Amino acid sequence: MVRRYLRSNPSNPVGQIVVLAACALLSTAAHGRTWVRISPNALQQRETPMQVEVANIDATDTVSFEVRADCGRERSSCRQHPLTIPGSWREGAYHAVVDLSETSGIPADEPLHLWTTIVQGDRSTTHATLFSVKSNHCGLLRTVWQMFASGTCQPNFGRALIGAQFGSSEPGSEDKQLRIGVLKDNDSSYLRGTERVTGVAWRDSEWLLFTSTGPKRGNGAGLYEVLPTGSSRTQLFLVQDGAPVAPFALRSGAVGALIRRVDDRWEAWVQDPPAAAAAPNGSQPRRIPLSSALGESVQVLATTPSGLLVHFQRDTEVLAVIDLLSGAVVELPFDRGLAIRSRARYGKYHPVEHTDSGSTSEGINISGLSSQGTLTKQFLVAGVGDDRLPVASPDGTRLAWVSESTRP
Amino acid sequence: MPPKRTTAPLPERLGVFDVDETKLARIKSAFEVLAVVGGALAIVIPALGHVALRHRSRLLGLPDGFLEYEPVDVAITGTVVVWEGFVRAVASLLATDSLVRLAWLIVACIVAGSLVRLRSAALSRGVIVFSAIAIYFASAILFEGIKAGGRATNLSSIFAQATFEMQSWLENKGNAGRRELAAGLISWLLVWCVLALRWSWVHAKASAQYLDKLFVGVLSIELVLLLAMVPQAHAYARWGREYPRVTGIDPGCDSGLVAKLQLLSDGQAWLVSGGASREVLLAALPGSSELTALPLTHPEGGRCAWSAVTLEVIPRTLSAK
Repeated sequence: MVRRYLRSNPSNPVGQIVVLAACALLSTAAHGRTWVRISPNALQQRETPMQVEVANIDATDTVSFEVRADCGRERSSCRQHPLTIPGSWREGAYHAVVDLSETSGIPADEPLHLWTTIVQGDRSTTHATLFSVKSNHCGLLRTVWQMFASGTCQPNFGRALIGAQFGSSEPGSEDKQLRIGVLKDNDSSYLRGTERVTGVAWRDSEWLLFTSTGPKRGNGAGLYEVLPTGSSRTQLFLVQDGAPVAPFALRSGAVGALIRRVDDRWEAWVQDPPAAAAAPNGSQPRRIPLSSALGESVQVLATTPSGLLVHFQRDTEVLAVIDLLSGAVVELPFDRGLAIRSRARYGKYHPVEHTDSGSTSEGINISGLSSQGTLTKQFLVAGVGDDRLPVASPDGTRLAWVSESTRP
Repeated sequence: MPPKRTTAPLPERLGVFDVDETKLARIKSAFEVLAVVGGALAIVIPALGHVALRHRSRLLGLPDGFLEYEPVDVAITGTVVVWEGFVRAVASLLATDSLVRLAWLIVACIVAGSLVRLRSAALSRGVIVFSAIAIYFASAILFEGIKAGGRATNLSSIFAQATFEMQSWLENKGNAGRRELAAGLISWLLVWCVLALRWSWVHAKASAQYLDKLFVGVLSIELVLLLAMVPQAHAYARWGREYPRVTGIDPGCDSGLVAKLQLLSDGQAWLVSGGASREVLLAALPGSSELTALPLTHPEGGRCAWSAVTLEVIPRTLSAK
């Protein structure tokens, strides 16, 4: 009726406004149906967490999520991708954050559906929201250049020119990147060529190990070593079918990383030092399947000659020991606290991740924990964006961390 | 001493029955212009309406001609296409999406092009060349996105990304503003193309070079392409896939259909006819994950379906039951 009125009175803007306002009031008064919105948009970047909002539901309702392939048929016949999505109530809606950087099981460049199931009493409804994870998200103007010049997507060109993306100016187009920061004598620097870093560790007092999903345009996931000055970056091994996280260096001189494969199984890859390797070039790492899956935000806290002490998030924080001979994962009973993150010291402090709601610095910063257990009032590292996974060099003169900084 | 007053010769006054030939010629030419414009609009507006309504059907996956309209509805739709094209162009400059920068960039190019045209022929040619290239790529990308085809499965190319992104604006709730913005961008591209064509036409008339005439030809083709996109963009922005959910069916309409629809646990049926001559539902019938178009006819000429006030996005992928 409204549409017919609007069509039959195209030259009466006042009448149109009145009718549309009345409709808007009516729709507001009526109980709205639930809906799901993801930000920034359908094309998500792996480095930027996907924000999910479920509106028009009550706090007593339950919400669950599934990520499935967009196979165009019924939901149950579409391939499911494992995912844990934490959420919370805020401002009358349910908000969830999908950290795509930690969900290597979700394939890039494929159409996917985020299925949201909302249970309201005895009634259950589902919503399918279309999205895809882009490994290389080109903007409009970049594309024009791409067609003329290179034939490949050049992410920096469009950023410099206008920054226009198909994504909105909401979180997705915020120009954040992960890279390694190094602090020495209160002077911090960021290492070029360490983009998309997923973990950092010291091989010795001179060399840094880091895992990355691809420091150059999303290609070349694997384990790397680099000098703290940013020079002499070397690829130690490539990972084709998974995402490397949590690098480590053993006392034997071997190095390695924990790998989350695309089928969500976990492996430890250990590369022996060239002198001890059976293979002539010593470049092929040993693959050790782990007996159980780890979780998100995996960190290696300490190493033994044949094992790792790791910390990760599942529903709660978990501390576990990994036996690198058998692949057995033994979870330890532990009382959560800051102490589990204290490792080698930087100067007189153990570096710890720290959030201070009263601080002017945003996000997670790195503070120092003294031997007496007191937290320094001053951040060792602070800035816009999260600063995480601090590791001090064995000689205590340098601090390396993973920085989610805004591109200068 | 006061200056001498001089008397200027008075213009020759026309008598009561004299005719101002100049004024008459102006009126005649104005009438001719009105007649040409009116005639063109009489053809263009129904055509725009027809194409826009056809694209509305295609967005729903319905075959051409499945939804039938009265001629007056087609004409009104065409008028709305033109009017809302202007409104969307202005509104696109105030949008919150990052694509708004592209709208401002086009406006800046229009302004810069207008200024440069007056000063340097070489710069003007540069602007025209740039315009032709930019219009081609921008319209190609928007066209890829707006066209209601199947979904891209390999998102490696930018055209596939554009298609996917704009498909998501159809399928995911809360993207009506972005659809309006995309349609507004096409309006601005159209303005830009018309101006660039005018500039190149002026140059081509004064120039003996074939290159200038080539610009005219290229921009003319661009203009036709963009004009074809206008009703498509209107259907995309105005309707998308958002329609009211059916809340009830008159049992006197079609007993078999009513029985089928009653089996639906969550009433997965939407009234998609809008201003069409007959009512049409798009429904997920039991045992099928595909949507089926169902025409309804009331034996006494009344309404068959009742629908909700609010609009919903019709899902392409249906929930498992």
